[in-house]
Amino acid sequence: MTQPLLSYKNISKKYNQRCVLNNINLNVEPGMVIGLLGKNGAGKTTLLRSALGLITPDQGEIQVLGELSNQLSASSKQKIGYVAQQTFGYEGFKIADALALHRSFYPDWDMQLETKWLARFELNNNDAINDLSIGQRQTLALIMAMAYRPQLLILDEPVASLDPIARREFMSDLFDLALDSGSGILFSSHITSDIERVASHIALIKQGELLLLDELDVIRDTVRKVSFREPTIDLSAYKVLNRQQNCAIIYGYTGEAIVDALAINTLSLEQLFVELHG
Amino acid sequence: MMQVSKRPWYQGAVSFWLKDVGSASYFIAATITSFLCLIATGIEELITLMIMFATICMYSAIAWQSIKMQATEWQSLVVGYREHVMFQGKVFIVFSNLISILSIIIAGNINLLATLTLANLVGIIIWFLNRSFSHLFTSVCYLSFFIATLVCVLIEQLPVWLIPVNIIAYIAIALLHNNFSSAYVWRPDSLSNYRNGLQSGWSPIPSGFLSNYGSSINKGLFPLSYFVGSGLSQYLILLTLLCTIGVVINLFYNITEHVIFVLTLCLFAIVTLSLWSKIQKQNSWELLFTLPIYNSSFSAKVALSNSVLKLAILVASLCFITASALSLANPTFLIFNILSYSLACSAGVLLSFAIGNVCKNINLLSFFMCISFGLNMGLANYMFDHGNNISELIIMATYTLAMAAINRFTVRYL
Amino acid sequence: MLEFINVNPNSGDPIYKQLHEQIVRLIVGGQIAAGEELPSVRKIADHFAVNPMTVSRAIGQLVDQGWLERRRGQATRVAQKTAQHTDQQETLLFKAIDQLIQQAKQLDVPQASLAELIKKRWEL
Repeated sequence: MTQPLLSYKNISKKYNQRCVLNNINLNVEPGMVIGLLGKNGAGKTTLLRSALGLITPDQGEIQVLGELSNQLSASSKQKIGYVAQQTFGYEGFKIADALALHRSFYPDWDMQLETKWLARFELNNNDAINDLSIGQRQTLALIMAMAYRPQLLILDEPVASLDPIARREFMSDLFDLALDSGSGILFSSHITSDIERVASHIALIKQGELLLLDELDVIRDTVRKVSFREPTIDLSAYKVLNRQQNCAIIYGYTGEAIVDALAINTLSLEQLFVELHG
Repeated sequence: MMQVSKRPWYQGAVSFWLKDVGSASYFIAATITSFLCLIATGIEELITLMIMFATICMYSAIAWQSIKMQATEWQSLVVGYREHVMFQGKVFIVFSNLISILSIIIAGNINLLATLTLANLVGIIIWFLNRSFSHLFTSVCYLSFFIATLVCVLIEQLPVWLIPVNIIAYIAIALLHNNFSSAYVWRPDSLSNYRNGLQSGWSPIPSGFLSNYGSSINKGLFPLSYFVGSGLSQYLILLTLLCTIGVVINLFYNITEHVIFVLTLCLFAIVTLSLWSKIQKQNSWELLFTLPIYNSSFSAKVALSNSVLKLAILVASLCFITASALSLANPTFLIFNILSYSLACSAGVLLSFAIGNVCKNINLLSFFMCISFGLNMGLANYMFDHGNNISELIIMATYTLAMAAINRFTVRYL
Repeated sequence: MLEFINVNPNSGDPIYKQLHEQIVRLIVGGQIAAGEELPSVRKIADHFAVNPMTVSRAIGQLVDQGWLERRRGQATRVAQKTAQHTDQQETLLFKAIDQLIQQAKQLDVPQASLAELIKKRWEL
């Protein structure tokens, strides 16, 4: 078995008595594209930041490329790419200057990728970063995070401000990275259709807890919404993710009949997301 | 493939230090004052103040950058990013110290070295505090500036024995800083501290302070107060308080000259602050235009220039009342001096805002503000000391009218 | 052939199933002939902006089920027609018919009327 690029072990974190992360276990392995799904404030950003050692969890251990996340060596840091929700750090720079400086911190910078991306997203080298739109800034941050082909790419809402075409282009590059270079990608998003397209795995986080973690296709194949009239229905064969008066979301369904069930429906990712927060 | 070592130390320095408005305002002030030190070597009182100011400003610029470091995730993730920026800062510190030492050598006064070492000591405290606590920036800077100015004004010559004491304390802090393990750690609240700092600029006043009393003033000075924020009325009230205290003390000890100097200094500092806040909110114009009170964007601009005029009249009356009250303690009532002085102050206000109207570029603005600051300070103080006849009063009146006209005229360039 | 396929990430079916089903339809319906080459997994993935793993899962299943043929070093091709293909012609309609029947029942339309209706619409 290969060593995971990133592994969270029993991670818990509290802010002012409020539990932001509760016993999270998650591994990112080469080739994986994990989509992190959750409401605002569910703890996604905290989870991502803690992988970079920016936040130290109260409990548990995070290993990144075989090292503890809060003691990353320089060579490991050069293999991690990160795009924050709000990129910040090159205010006052022109695009070309910012890239030139950023490039100088990375020995393995892919100039071709940089040029390709700048052209594709119509970023003008002479534009001041302060004048860029949010989407353009995000694109620039993506270039800065991806041009050195990191082994581990951590993206916090990377596509939220990109237009649909830019999002598609970006995703195709993501696959280049994940599949051709064997990198692992962990990204959070609200846009379920993007996750549906891109992710190989889904991690669904609700109020700091990892509710669901599996291959996307397995989730889509085995998660069902069961409607019923009698609350005595026997669902013990499955993992029940959410149960209401007359329906339940189950996980592990393999196509058999369920006694007392009125209907068994498939769910799109968006429906699943909404149902789980119902 | 690019080698890390090929990066020159100054790469990105212009963007880091001059294009970031927060750091630029300190950095430019520090640089200009540093060079002025060389010129001002003959004037003893001034050079002490300037060495102090230049050095502390430079440290403040670095402190500002270190707050920025705490706000960006890159500093902890990108290997060498923080070291690169901070190295630039250290080079600037050394550079500014070298200039100061040069001017001390020219001035030939060893006591100034005590001032310089003390300034460095205060500076490193500002810097190191801000490396760990981003929310302290404005308060720490202001406290330091205040203490430093007080030291310069109260103690004419710092004793020479302070030099080794300061140096030892400095080295001790520099060596012990490794124990402040939290330095430069990324913090979730740093970005908002940075943004707040940017918004308030040099403003030392907490945002809620005196807001109840100021609302009528702010209403009277709309739309200027809209751009400057509630700070405008707070400053004016504070200034009035300061004047009152000065007048009361003057009844017992004769400190007329000092009060006038401090009043003028505070006044133009406040004008600079207000302009700073106004520039920061330049893009709020759109909101102002959409308010149903102005027929056109031009009438909004005219309203702004009228409110500046009102502010200038307020300033003139404050100066006049204060100076008159101060004069009561004196045997002679110097009516011409007082009138010329008041006019010079209000003309200074008008000139500064006219510059603010014309300058779009923040660097250019800082530069011209520094010049007009010096000009206004010099003119006002000169008028109080020497403007004792009618011809000077007439010149000042004409000058003030000209400034009012210029301020009104330049409004179209906003 | 990619223009015949429509991927909807918001649908209830996973993307690999959508691809699988639609390619089967195209083969059974004859829109892609036996022996025809499929674009590479990468090309399909890029075209729909989906994860290549998803595409290769769909293709893999189609190969396992005998719809497609994969030879070492060559592009994937549509396999020769077998008896299974013709069976599928009808089973592929089951889902749509089931839905139709369900709706008819809900609207209280009897079986005979439904058959009649289908005939009418067919001849339009």
